[in-house]
Amino acid sequence: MSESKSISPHKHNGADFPSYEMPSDNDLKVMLSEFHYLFEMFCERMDLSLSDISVDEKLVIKALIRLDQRRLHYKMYHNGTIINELKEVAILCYWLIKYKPIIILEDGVYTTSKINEVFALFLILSTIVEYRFTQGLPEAVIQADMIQHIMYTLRNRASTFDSMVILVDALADR
Amino acid sequence: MSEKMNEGKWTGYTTGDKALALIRQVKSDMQADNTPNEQVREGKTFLGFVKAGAERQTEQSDKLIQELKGALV
Repeated sequence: MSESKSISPHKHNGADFPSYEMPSDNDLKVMLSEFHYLFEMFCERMDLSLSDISVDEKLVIKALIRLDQRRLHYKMYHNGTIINELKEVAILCYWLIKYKPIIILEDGVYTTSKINEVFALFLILSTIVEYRFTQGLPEAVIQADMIQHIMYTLRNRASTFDSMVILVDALADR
Repeated sequence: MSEKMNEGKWTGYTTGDKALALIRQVKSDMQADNTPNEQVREGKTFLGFVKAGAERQTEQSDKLIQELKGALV
């Protein structure tokens, strides 16, 4: 089988396989400050005091880089696909739930319980609102009791990228 | 695709031009096999887009925020 000898796992169509480059420091700085803004908005709407909360920003940066990696994955392996905002938020939330960067002081104890999932849902709902508005569609109908079901899923069920994408797509009623 | 069984041993290998045609067909099918992906933000970053949604408070989103508050407890 002399033909197979010329196929190298490190080459793609004869050229070196491209390697991933992380977003620039400045781009990540902008993303981090946007994250701060969103997080403060979340705390304000949840009536949470920022003095009771701590955020491990290293984990936030890591989640943002993971999202960027996934964008490139789709572009490379899915025929140049630029993923939409619903997929982006699903992927970001997958990592935020996995890394749990937010810690809250509750009854004198620091805990990651629930707040990361609630923040993720806040991001998902906000993205759905904007996605449908931008497309000129009426607001998606999401029953209030769905929140408890989704919270249970996010906290207790094994989720993958794909299941998160399906969940967000279904909520967005696409 | 031809598939022949010979005393339990599969001998239906596709070779030569037929193999190339098969490969091209699979590549073409895979390129066509995508879900819709309309990215809708214009001139906004992704998180800027999420922020715009968070700022767009509606009757329903206010109701869902109340549910989220309840879920925190």
